[in-house]
Amino acid sequence: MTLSVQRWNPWQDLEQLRDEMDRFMKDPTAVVRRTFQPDEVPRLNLWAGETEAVVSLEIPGVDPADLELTVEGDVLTISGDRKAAELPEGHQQLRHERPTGRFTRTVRIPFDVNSERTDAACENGVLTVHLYRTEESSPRKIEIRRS
Amino acid sequence: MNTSSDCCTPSAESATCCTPARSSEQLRTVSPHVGLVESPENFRLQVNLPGVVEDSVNLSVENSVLTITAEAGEPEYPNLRPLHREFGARKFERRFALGDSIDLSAIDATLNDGVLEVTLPRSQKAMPQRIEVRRAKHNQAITE
Repeated sequence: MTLSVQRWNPWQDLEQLRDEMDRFMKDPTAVVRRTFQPDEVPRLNLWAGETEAVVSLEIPGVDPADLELTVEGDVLTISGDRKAAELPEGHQQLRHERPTGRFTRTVRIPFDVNSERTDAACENGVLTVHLYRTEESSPRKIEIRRS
Repeated sequence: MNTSSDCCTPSAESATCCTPARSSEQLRTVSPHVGLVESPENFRLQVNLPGVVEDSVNLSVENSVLTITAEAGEPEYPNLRPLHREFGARKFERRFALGDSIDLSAIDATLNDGVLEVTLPRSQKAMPQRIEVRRAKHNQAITE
């Protein structure tokens, strides 16, 4: 296996953007470019305890109205649409790295979830879902009688 | 192979293994995804900064280089264990060279739902101007 060693160039982004801007000004047929491979699905974190769990999802720029959450047993499913803004006439997309389109993420919670109590909020482009265990599946202390 | 994410496997016993880095020196620096739209009046740069609040965003222009930095924290749930972790506290950083056509004094930025939108207006002298075409008196070659 051969490894090619490339000198790290901290100015690469600058040069790329400048190139594109310069090129665009010279060439009105400049095309939309995807310079990075964007994450196709939003990133997700899960914290859980005995009776409570928290799921967070990165969804910058997504309208909460375009999100759908479902809870079934111990499975939480979050789907949504990262809509791309429509460009008015005369506007050109020069760079397009921000992921767009529909996504679905499914996560198994370590307990059966009480869907009535589930609470979700969007803040600064992060969705946070609080989930609680159903009463029926909660651990119960069982008293031991003297025989 | 990268094994740095091992600390957050469900088997990890310690609840403190994913404690976020406290000082910005220790934060992992990542390059945010951007979108760039050009219009006759301006360039609009959209930067994905999930989890970032206004106060932690810094924009500066020096030598025609626009630098954007921001920090995203991480919530703490002392009674819960991290079972799966794909993102955490981090520092976003990205730089862009601005062409001569940008009016540096009129750059404006807003942060909305984790997306920073930077408006870079074109300077007046760079705006498209109508140039009248006169009839040539005699053929003149245009050289580049």
